[in-house]
Amino acid sequence: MIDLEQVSYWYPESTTTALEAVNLRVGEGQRFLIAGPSGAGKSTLLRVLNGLVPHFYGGRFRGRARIAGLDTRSAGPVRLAEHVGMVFQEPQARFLTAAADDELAFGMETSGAQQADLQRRVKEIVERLNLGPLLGRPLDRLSAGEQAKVAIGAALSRQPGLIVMDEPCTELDPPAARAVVDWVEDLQRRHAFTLAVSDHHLRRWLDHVDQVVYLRAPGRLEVAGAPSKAAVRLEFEDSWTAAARRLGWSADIDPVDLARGLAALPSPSSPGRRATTEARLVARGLSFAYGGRPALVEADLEIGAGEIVGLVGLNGSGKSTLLRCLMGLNFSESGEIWLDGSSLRSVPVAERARQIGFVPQSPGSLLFAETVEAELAFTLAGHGLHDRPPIDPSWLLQTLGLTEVRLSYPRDLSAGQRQRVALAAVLVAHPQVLLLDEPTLGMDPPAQRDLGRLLRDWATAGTAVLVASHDVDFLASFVERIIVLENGRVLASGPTADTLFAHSDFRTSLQRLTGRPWPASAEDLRPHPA
Amino acid sequence: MTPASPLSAQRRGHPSAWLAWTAGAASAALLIRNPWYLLILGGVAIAVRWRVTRHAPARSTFLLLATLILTSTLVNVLFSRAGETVLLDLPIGWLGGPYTLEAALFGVSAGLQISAVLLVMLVFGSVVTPADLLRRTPPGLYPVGVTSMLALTFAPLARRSYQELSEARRLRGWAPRGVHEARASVEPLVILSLERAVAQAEALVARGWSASTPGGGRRALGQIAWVALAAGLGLWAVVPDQPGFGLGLIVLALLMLMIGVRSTGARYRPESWAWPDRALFLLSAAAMVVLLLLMTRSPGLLTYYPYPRISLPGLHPAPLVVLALLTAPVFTQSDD
Repeated sequence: MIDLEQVSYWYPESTTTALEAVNLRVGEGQRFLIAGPSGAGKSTLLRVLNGLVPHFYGGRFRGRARIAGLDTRSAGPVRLAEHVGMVFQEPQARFLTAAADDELAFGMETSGAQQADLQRRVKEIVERLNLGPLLGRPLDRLSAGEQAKVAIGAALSRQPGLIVMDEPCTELDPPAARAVVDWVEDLQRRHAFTLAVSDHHLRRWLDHVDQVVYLRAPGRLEVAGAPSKAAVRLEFEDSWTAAARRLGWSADIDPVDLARGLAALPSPSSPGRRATTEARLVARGLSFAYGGRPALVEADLEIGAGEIVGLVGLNGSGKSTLLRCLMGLNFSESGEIWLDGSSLRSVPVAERARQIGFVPQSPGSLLFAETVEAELAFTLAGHGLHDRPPIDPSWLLQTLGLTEVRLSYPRDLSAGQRQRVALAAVLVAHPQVLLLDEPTLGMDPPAQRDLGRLLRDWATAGTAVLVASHDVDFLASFVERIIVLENGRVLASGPTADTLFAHSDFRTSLQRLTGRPWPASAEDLRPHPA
Repeated sequence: MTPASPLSAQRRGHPSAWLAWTAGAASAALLIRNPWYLLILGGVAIAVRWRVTRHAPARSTFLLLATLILTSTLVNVLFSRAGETVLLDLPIGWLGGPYTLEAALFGVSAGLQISAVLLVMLVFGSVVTPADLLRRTPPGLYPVGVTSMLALTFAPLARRSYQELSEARRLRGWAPRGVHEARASVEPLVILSLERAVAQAEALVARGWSASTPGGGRRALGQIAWVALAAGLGLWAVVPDQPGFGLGLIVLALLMLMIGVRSTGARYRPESWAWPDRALFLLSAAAMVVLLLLMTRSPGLLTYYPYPRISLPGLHPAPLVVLALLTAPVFTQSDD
């Protein structure tokens, strides 16, 4: 199905290779996962498979790519659309119609299908994919998980032999992500299509693919193999491998043995609640509604100086709304917010931003400067700190792994790198409170680790941090306390491992493996002496 | 079996009928300079939009329109020296000379014209989806169809992008500063909106839409039609005394294009051409015909030229007939 020979690619006006002499052969009905750090070329490789690279993007293309027997240089994306269905990273930004069944039909309409065939195929897809409950609802009112399902259904509508998915679960809460992975596996089993998927979350897919492909920046394919072997050979560490390595066990230990071994470890005595210093950020009775639909209901919150708190909840539970209310971007109809004892009621956002740093979920709009360095300078100028930065911008760029791209145009960077630039652009003012909305989106595991450590360092220095995230493995590694939101209400708040375990939707990979609250992450384990 | 429309409350009728209304209303907005008619046309567009969406234009829309009218007036007053009613006379030099009431009125009517076009396009954006437009792209003009789709989605995306950019600036310590903020946001706004539009274009291509769809005979028919249209227009322009030949070619070309559009493949949700759509189409076409007759026979009824000395713009029943015909959607829209 896929035959890439010495494929190299350069984006227009770029001198660095996006893909370098990539060779890849995948048979019909095979499933493979593309892993690799941010900016390594995963999305580019996926776009080679349906001809968007080079036909849509331009640039220089070398080598030969044959998909379903067609040379992508001559066939192009329109012809390849018969054979390749693509699910993009942010499906909601790519919908072309307003309703789920219209979206399913669009690809078939463009293929010139007959009326009777159109109706029959859409009905068939709706029935087979169980999309009936989504019909009759505008696409922009569906949850992220439902939108992902429609996007996958639309990709399948022309019965392609190859389905390409670019981080399809990035914006989904853990249950929705698991549901999509299970659903894709079930569909693949029934329809026997070839599957190419990229995801930073290796553990999510390892049991559902036949092969793992590893791309190392810039665009070099280095490791390919069966999932059981490939996972331990990657420079990425998923939580199981990390736990085994930490304990000095073989990294490719059988999961059953790993579970047994972890279960046999003595649990540490329950960590007493840390002696919180003074409450830095306090909110009481926050409520907010979008067009009459309540999104936040009487929410209370308290974060101490030096504390890192995680905020979890299903898609639409009110996490982003809570952060926006705290920042003043949404004006809470009721309730009050205090920072170090002072009410923030009449403090405008720009002034609040000096003390409270907020990085929204899609930070693309945060970036407007010509270079990464200039982004940091822009924030400093906004706060009147350009001649006396509270922290050294160069140090911050180095800490976030951005030194090499400091002179690059931020919007040309990969999703994970853009996320880090947005973080740097906010952190450079050294706020006393940090509100981060899904900060690990698109970030590879090493970058996530660096971010977690940075947050710890900042917390040690007294910064209060609130992180809203679907990435429970990240939260389990770096936050001390978890707040669970459900339908806009605070459902629970408590120590990380116990709180995550108590809410089955949010259990970590290790908790699912062992069926126990501890260890919640590899970070909970005492490192084995080398 | 035809699938039930999932958006029955939001279905506004047949897109082709709306295209006819938009063509009529936009032509009126572009050909009329009389401020009274432009004000009425703006009101008609607001009423039509309210009838189909139940939404009045947002406060920011009115602010934008007021800014446009004010800017146009100021620019004209500052740079035009024509007119006899002098409001202010500065010594000759940089921007010196007489500032006249006529220049101000001319600027107001120009601003009203731009505002009327925007209000008509606001209705268009509310009733015609990008997919509707794509499906109606005449054969041979598919790249134009994609471009039109990008243009149609650009404005709503730009509005969302502007809000995000404004928030982003505040998050980085920059207090809102009106015009200064707007100016600083222009470049990132364009980039952000284009990025989003390009994402949609990429999705279109990945889903099999392109200049080569559909292929074969229909594409050839489209190409012949465009050549015939160009030849017809050329003939009409070169030999205006004998328009028969040119007009004949134009009609033939339009017929070929319609055949091409009508046969561009099956639709999942076939569009019904019910009596309200027929009525809207015919009344909009009538408005267009009356407008073209006025333009060729009595252009003075449409224009307003305050120079050299101010006179109040007049009102004549004929242009009012055009505007009355353009209110058709208010009456042809069902209440469901």
